[in-house]
Amino acid sequence: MSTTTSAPTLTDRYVYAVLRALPEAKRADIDRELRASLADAVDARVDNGEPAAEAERAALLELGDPARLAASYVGRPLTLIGPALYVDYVRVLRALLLVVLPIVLVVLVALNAIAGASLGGVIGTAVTTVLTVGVHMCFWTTLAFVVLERTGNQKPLLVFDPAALPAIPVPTGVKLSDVAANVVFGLFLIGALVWQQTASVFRDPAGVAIPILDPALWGSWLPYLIVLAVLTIVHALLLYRVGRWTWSLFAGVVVLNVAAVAPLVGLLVTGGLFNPEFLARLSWAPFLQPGSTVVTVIVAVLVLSGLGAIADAAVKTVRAQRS
Amino acid sequence: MTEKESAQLQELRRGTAVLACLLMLRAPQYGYALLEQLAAAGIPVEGNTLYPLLRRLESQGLLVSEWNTDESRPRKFYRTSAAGDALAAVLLQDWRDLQSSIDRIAEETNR
Repeated sequence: MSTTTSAPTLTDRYVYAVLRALPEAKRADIDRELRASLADAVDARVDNGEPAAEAERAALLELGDPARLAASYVGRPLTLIGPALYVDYVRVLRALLLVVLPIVLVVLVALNAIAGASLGGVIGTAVTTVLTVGVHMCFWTTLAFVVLERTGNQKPLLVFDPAALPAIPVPTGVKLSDVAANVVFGLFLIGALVWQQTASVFRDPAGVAIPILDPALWGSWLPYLIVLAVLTIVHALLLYRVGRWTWSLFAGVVVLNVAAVAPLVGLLVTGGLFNPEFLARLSWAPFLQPGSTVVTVIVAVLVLSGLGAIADAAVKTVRAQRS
Repeated sequence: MTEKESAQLQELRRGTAVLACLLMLRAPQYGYALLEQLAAAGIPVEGNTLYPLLRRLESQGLLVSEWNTDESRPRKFYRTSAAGDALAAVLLQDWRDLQSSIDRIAEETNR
């Protein structure tokens, strides 16, 4: 509603910026009033001795960002998701990303592996899946909550119920399930080593069992592994007896893991682990040669699980020692 | 005054802007003049707060407005409505009760 025909002033441009963010019905009235208020402010400054241009600029600065002023006029909220809905939003997002996403990932990777994709293909699929599905989850959840917010839902979705409070995790206790798992694992390992030697599923033409691992290893590494398995059982029982993680128990974990993983990795890498007869029989030799993809994956898995076990023990020991 | 102190002061003042406007507009006034009046009376309110506030109070029926075209510059005058007067009385009583409560707490805990 400006009647000026000369070049638009700063005031004109400011008023335009405010009005364009307002609904049509309110524009005319706010236009008149805002111009009058700005003119009054400028006049007051000029009467105080400020030059006109400076006064205009200062008056506009005082009113501030036109987008903010327009939002104030309309009562528009300056948040995407307000405090009432935010906590539920975070809960939903966390549940999706920490529970649903891993499940989706596992299913997709399994399907891909079954369909016979290469290792690189499977890893590539995993990464792109996590990124794509994850981003979609974030976007659609956020959008849903923004719509809820804008349609006037100002009450939280989940009502606080004291009965649903989380239980406090026991920080220093040693869980019986952990101990049992380790004992079972040790026994299983011994059993597996013996089984693959004497009763392996793979039979030669004469019906004699073909061991999977090189029988020559019975002279050196396999008894060593059996001893380590026994020591693992002993360690688990000790842990249960002591009742909490200590630094000496942690040291035990480190020693056992390193002592088990290092020779295994060495044997895999030098090709001395598997029984040559077994490899020839199944023509799996190319897959299990040192340097092949499968061997690399097995080595990586061994090293990572060893490190994981050490890290897990470290965390538990620190927690136990702190309390 | 530190930044934290001035933030606390803003919190304290935020509630009084509405009451101050309702009381002051018992005599009709327009936007910028009201801004100056409030500042002079010791309740400074910024323009980008006051102008939207006046509109909101008007939409809630607590103020009535009228364009005055007597002077060369047309101005929108606001005045407190009957509903605005009623609310102002309630708020003022609340304000006085609060004041005496605070004074009493200050007295009693003054060791």
